[in-house]
Amino acid sequence: MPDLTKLAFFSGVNYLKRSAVSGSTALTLPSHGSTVTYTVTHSLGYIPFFQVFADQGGDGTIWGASKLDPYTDTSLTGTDLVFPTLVSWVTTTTLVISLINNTTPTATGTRNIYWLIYQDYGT
Amino acid sequence: MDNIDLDFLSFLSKYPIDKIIATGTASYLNSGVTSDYAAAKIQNDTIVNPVGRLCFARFVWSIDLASYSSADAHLFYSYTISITPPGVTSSPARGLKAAAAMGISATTITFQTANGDHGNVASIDGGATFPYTPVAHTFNFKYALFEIS
Repeated sequence: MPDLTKLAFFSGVNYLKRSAVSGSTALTLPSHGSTVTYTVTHSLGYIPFFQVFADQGGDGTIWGASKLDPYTDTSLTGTDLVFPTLVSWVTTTTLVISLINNTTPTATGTRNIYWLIYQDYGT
Repeated sequence: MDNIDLDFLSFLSKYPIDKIIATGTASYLNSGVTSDYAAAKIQNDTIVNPVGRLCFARFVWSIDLASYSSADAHLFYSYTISITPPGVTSSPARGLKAAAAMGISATTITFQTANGDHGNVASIDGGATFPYTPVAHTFNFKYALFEIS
């Protein structure tokens, strides 16, 4: 065993490595009730771990898909969806990211989305 | 790879890995008080982003400091609604007990909490009003900020 205090990096375990196709882009919000979709081709051949974030409010703040909204997080009627809904899923070859624009009043403009795709555990 | 002198490297990875640049904890009280029993109180609390640039966050959160939930967890509970007169009680209704989220900008970290927890609802004026008693919760975050690239 080496002197660990001399090491800048030591790993006794595997790491989740980011795929080179991780990245970001800006999506233009569609009209009310419509969905804009962005597809990332990762071609890994297996279902990878991934994370997706978005600037759903268009104000420079990025959130995960768990961002809270009075519409989705209460049972109160008469509320409106404030932010576009971030939805994503992965297949063995692609990651699909969608923003569903059911906002009232209808949100417009572009929204930045970010994604991280992780390589499988190394051996 | 051929142009890299491996003797001078402390670490080399073909692929980037998540680099954590700050960690922390935060606690915020959400009273759950709203104008309607069916509405959860969604509250935003902010701090200065300690790294001063856009980054990603991962976190877990807890309202009992014992069990921590994942970022996307929603905790639910049930309650009943009784109306007098005529003296009827509903079957159990589902309510949002707690949920949480984190937003990151270059300057600010936003901790978002939702609290819809309350006791059974009892209307004593035949349904004209639906008074309820909210249950306050303290949301405790454990988070890590990591680089976008």
